[in-house]
Amino acid sequence: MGNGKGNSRESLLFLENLESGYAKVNVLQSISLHVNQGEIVTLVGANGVGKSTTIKTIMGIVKPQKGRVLFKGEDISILPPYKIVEKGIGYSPEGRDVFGNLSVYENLRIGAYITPKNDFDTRLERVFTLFPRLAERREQESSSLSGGEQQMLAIGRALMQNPELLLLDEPSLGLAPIIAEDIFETLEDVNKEGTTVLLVEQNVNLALQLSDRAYVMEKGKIVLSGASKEMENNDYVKETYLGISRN
Amino acid sequence: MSLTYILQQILNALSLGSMLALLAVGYTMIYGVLGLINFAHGEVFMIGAFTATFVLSLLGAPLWIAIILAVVASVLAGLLLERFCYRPVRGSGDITLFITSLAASIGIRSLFILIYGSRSRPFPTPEYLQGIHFFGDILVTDLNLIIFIFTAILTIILSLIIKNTDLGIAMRGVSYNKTTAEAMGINSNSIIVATFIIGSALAAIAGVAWGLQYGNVRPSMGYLPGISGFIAAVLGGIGNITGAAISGFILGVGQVLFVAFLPSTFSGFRPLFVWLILFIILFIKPTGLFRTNIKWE
Amino acid sequence: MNTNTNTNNVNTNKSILENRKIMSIGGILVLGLILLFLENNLSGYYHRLVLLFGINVILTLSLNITNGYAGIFSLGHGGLMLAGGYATALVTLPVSFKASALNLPHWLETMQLPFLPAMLIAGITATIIGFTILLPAFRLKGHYFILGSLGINVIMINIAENVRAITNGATGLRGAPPYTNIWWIFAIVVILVYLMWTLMTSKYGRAVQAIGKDEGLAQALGVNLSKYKAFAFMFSSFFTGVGGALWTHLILTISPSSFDLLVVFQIVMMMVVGGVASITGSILGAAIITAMLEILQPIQEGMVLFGFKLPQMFGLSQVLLALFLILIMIYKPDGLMGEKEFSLKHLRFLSGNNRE
Repeated sequence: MGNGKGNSRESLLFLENLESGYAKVNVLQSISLHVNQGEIVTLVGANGVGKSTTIKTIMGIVKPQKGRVLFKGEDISILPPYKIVEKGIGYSPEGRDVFGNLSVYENLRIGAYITPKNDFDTRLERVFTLFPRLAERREQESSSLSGGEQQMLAIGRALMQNPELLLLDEPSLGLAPIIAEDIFETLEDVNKEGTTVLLVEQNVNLALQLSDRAYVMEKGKIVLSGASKEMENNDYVKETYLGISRN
Repeated sequence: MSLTYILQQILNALSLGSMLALLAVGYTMIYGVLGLINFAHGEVFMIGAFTATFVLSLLGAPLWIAIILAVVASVLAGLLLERFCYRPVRGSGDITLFITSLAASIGIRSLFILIYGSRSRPFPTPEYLQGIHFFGDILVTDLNLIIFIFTAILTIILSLIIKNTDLGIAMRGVSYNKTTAEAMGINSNSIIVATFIIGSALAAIAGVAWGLQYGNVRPSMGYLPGISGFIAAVLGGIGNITGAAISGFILGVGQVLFVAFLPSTFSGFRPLFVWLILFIILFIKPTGLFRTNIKWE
Repeated sequence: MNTNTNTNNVNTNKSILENRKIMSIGGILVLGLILLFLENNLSGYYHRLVLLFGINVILTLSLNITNGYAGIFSLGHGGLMLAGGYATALVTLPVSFKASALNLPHWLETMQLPFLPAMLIAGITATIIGFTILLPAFRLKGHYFILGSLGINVIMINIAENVRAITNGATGLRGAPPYTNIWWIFAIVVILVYLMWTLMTSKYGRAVQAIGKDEGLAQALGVNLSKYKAFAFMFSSFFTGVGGALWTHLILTISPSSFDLLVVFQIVMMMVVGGVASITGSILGAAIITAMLEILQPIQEGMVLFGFKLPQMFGLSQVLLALFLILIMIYKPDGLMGEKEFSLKHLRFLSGNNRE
């Protein structure tokens, strides 16, 4: 472990030997990873290997059976989701999961539910600057948005909390490549403004381009980790995930 | 059948319509956040009416104090139900939730029968509310008018809260997707509690209105109005406050007109009207008159 | 159900079947002897208790077909019992009563049938009513179906109160002949258990249970939902009507309030306490709740305890039953038996002979 800079225990987020899953099936088998302040870290792997479960466990939606989730040194694995949000973690769920019965503006208001109201307008302005499309659709019911717009809304909604750490579950899923790239560029801006990002992706190519470090997950285990630049040149990653054969 | 007659019947039915509207709004909100037919909602309504009866007849207190205490008692009952009956079984399936609420309903009703007996008790309606006015041939009672106006104001205030406040938006969010709402920082338990508080308070007011209008209360008084309230909630579109209120009025007024238009030998069939409407509408549109995802308005 | 289905050999299957046949016949013989013993040795009160238990078993099993196995939760069975009860009363009541109190067509007024055809008519009436009123409700899903089924109760009670020419209004019909006895009741119990057991292990029954477990899956497997649901509901309605008839010829009167929501609630309790989708569970549940109701009855009516006269406490048993049910829902939502059946395997551990 610890291919990145700094000590794991002093990281912003640190997962220690995490095991979790549904009913009696453990999807995660002793996952350890860390995210340092200011980084973009990505967790890549094929469909159904436990990437989403990892993020849901961090968010407290799925309770871990073993191991800990440390955020700024504090064990948050026993907290309910809404307390975890209060600690400073923003979450953009898989499949967007915007509130289809609410307007774009109301969705963003839910995003800002727990934060002080005095700088609400500033944050709303920031989200609208990052995603101008949302400003145009402000009063529209969000179930009527396109997939890309819904993804922007899900990310914008999480950003309304001014999170220190932003968790993104498959933001490129089901989107046209151009729109996905567009969203990833915005994520880079968000990161430059000081938000740490943990990104779960199936689109390994895009994820490695954006991130500083990467973890590769297979069947509930982390099989490979390292700087994203090195991963892009790793033979195994090339062959398995980037579709580039060895010769 | 003159126009005056019809107008008179509609006016007479205003208070019944108002009570059903208040019950329907409570039903629709609780169903919205919890996916539960709160069968005991009729008993919460009954508890409000009983509390007001005692405050008025034993303490001789003014009506506004009776209303406040009725609201307090019903809210307390609603909160106890939520905390000790529904919360422990949440997540173990629709049927389990429903059976629990059915048991709670019958348990509370029987408890009141056990303590107070099953017969009616008189509800002392203050004299200043018993005034009547004539507009031409049409008779208007103050009570009918006051209950209607009060209900209309409450419904409008409530729908503004649902539309514009953080609480209202959070309620709609929780009813759409509880998990996601929690992951956005909303404590769904406190939203559910808030919903029970509002719903129970409205039921209490409906209960007091019932006492004022019909002059008596009894432990089983909540059963049929409760069911009518839920039917109104279904017809109005679950989660749709305005829709529930309007459907409540329509069912109340419709019941009265239904009887008014039939020969007097059929007056006993009045309770069937709501079912007739329910079956007709559900036969045309089996999912109810609302969209598949819950939309609050 | 059987756990050793892996050894699916034709021979063992045959011998199991034969064993089962012998055991069933043996069981019925033992049951017959027990009933004969009970019939001759029990005093009036306990004898009546056994009869009530038997009727409750029939009603609980019938309810379990829809609410337990097929997963269509109905609260309308009170209305069906009412239909059965009135039907049997109308074809068995003394002609003089019918002529003086009611206003019936001549053929019905003069009709006086023995119990078996009367019971069949009760069952058929309940089936027809259940089916007619439920036809629209069938299109409903989940909560809306429950709501619609509740309507059957309200509608049937309302009709019984208001169609005085046939039902004698709120007073109801009195003087039904005392046909119900231990043999009729338990013969029907045996028939019902046999039919349910055979059906539930057949292809038809498995389809019905598939609906109960997962509608989507059942549909994906090509099960014609409405056909099976309708079948389950009609089967259930028939025996519920028969149960209502047995009840009527035991109590000897029937009125609109005979089978209200409280009665349905008690039967739902018997089903839920014993175990949803379990035949032995239903029998167990009927026994527990029948006993509880009987134990609470004297307390409710004000009993003398150690020289003190306790006040009447009407409603007490409903309060306690409701509390009991809520606790069951919280701590054991699948009931005492769950979906399992009580089998000989359990008996080995008990080494007793406490068979139903």
